[in-house]
Amino acid sequence: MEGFCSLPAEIQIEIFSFLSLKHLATILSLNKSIHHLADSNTSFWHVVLRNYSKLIHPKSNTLEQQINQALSDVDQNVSSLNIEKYSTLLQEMIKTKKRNVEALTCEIEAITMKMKLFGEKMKQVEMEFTQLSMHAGQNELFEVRIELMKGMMQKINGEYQRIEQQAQELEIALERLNID
Amino acid sequence: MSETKQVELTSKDKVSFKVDRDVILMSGLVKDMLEEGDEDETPIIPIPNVDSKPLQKVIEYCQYHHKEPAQEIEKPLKGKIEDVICDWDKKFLEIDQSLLIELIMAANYLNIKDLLDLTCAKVASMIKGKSPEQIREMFGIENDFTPEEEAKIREENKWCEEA
Repeated sequence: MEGFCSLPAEIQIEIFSFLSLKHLATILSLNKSIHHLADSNTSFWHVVLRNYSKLIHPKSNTLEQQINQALSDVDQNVSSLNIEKYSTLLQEMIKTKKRNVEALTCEIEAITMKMKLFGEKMKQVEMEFTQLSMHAGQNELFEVRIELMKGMMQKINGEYQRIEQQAQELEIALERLNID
Repeated sequence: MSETKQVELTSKDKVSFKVDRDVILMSGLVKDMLEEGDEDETPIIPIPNVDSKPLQKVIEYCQYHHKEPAQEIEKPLKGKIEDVICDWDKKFLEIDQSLLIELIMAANYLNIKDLLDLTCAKVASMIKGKSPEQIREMFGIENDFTPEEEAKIREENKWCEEA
């Protein structure tokens, strides 16, 4: 039976390029030839870096510039790059990712609190509205107040939906960073 | 009614397969060969590097995907491969490891990028979440590191695990 080791180096590299950094650490410790293959192949690390940067969305401009520079260097001359440079950049990106995850988690917590407050406010307005509706038709003042309450409820509802949408977007952004 | 043009592929073990020309044009290699060759009724194309079993699977893949283009598999793979491919591909990949490896080689030789991506992603998916020992056992990889060397490499690459 032909096994994994019988695959040409470029195909093994192609397989590894589907793995996240976490799993690449395992690959590097399989055996000497696989370690050498993955560790010395700059174009492979180029792919890893590119894939990772797509997911991370680095906020730091300096880091982004470094990554772009590294990628453009590879495009120009693969052999002139060393693996350490990629390793440093990737480690920097991991730190950025951690910071982004923390920031997003905080934002989600804040927005969840905001949604809770809006929910309570909505309940309160709805109760007031129900009470007012019981007096509907008694005089014009009640009618005006009811109309005002309706407008307020619509506004609160709209705002609640906007925040809900924002919360969903943050959850998606956090999910993107959850690289398995 | 005009008949569909066909191509005859002959595998390494001398088994012939007649395939619609449109179908097998998914292979970059066959496409190039057909462009170079004469306009025969049914050109015979030898595929000396691929056995009949993987070749049959390749044809099966092309027959399905020349009408239903495969979706790109995102890198790095999120979750398991089964989460990102269609039901047909899931069923298609229910093969033993030996055939999977042969299929990768065939896809590479015949230059069928989507099939190569699918099969490589399948192997990557098999690797995910497993320890080095489990991966070695699964693929019959010999560990030629000394325990000290292995520990050193793991320590050096610890940062990857935090990704």
